[in-house]
Amino acid sequence: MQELINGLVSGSIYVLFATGLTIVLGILDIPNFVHGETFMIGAFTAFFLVAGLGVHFILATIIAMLIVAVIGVVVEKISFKPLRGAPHVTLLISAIAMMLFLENLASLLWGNYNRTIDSPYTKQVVSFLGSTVSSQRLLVVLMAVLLIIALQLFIKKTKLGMAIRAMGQNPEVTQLMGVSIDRLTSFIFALSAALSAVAGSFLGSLFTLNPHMGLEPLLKGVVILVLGGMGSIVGAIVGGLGLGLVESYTAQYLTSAFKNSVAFLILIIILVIKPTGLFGQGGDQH
Amino acid sequence: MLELANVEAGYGKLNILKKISLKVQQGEIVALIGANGAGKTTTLKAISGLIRTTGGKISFLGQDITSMASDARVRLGISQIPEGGKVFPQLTIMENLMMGAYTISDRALIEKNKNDVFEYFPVLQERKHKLAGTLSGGQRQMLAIGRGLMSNPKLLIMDEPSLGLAPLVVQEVAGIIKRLQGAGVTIMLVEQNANMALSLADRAYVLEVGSISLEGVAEELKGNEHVKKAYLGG
Repeated sequence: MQELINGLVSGSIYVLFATGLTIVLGILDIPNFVHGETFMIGAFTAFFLVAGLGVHFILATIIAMLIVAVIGVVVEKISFKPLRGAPHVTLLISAIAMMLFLENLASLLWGNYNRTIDSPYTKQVVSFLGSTVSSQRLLVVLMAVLLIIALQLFIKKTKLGMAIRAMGQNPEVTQLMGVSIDRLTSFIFALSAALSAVAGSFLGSLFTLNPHMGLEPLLKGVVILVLGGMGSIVGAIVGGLGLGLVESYTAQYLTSAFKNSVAFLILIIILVIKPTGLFGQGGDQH
Repeated sequence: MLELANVEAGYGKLNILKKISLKVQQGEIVALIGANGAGKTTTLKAISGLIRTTGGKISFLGQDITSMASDARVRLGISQIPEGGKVFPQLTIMENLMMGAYTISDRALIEKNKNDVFEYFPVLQERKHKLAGTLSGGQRQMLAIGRGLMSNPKLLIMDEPSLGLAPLVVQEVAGIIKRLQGAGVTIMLVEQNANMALSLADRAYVLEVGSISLEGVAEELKGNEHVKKAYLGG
């Protein structure tokens, strides 16, 4: 039972992280490797709001989302906008440059040690399905579910969401409809970065945060995208939860030392058996 | 209404349009005819703002739009229907039409435009909740035209509306174009197949390797030996 809950908790964080990564890749066709760094900055922003200003954890997370959304827009303007239409490799190199810059800047500013975000729910426990769980962990799962439902409704039901779907299908024709591609691109980056920030804040409240925390979720995010299918939100949800559960059961029944490598084992297996992923539409899309 | 004066444009260092000048007047149907690679699509991209021009001036309704963003041009009243009935296949027919009305916030006006489109193309109303990807080629072209009408265009630019359509469907599309002109929409028709374009248009331009080689009243161009040979199949 405990393994199931552990798996759902880390799975929820993976889902939030991977959804942000997948919308930028699927709609804008940009491999945004800076996503791990906006995740890290989101965690630090929430940490300083809670520790420095005494803001409540939930409010701190929301403010972190907004601040990091702005950072996401700036990252797009600096790292990707000048390279619009360039091949993936070029975008990737530019992303890695920004990634290293932000990681080292954080390390310089905030130091290379672990911190934890305080939340009033960490010390509360509730009984859930026969196990004792901290309220904070339940909160993380609940907020993740709510955010993903809200995101789905937004993309399916609103005019802006419709434009986002249209852009994923044909950016040029979307432009002919009178949609400003610059503004829509900024919006998608803001949305994506906000999702990484909430994931960072959640992780930092359950475990620890430090300037180098962005790399591991980024690599796992790539695995989730390959597993679920590039650009598919449903794929990110199934892939994220799946990875969280597999890791949790591996730690329990094999060894926790093996937990972090299991993702890459999955990556290899998927690439061999079904390279388009579970919900991928094949290579003809881009 | 629309005027291009010595417009130059291209991709990177490759200059495709060499000082193109043309005019479209209020209420006209103007045809732009040219072979594959003559620069028709580049001209359209320059007009709609999808590419930046490297020289010359484009004006619309007396306003210089040379460096205006593409979405602002749509708001001014330029609507372009992309070639080959390019619709959004994963959106429903209704959503495709709503994308066409993206620049309009007046709900009553959207409703009116939608009803007009359904009146022109009843088949779209029957299938409004289906994905556009399920439509036939002719129906997609109709949806693309309907979507282009949703933004209340003053100038409707149609890129190869007859491309790949059966003769009967081409007839139907031609009928719609005439009706639109009657309803006060100014139309620019871009075609490789000069037959339909020249019989519908009031005036026409012939584009060859990035320059306008001929221009005049459509009826006269139809009689021109060069046009006959190169664009009318003998």
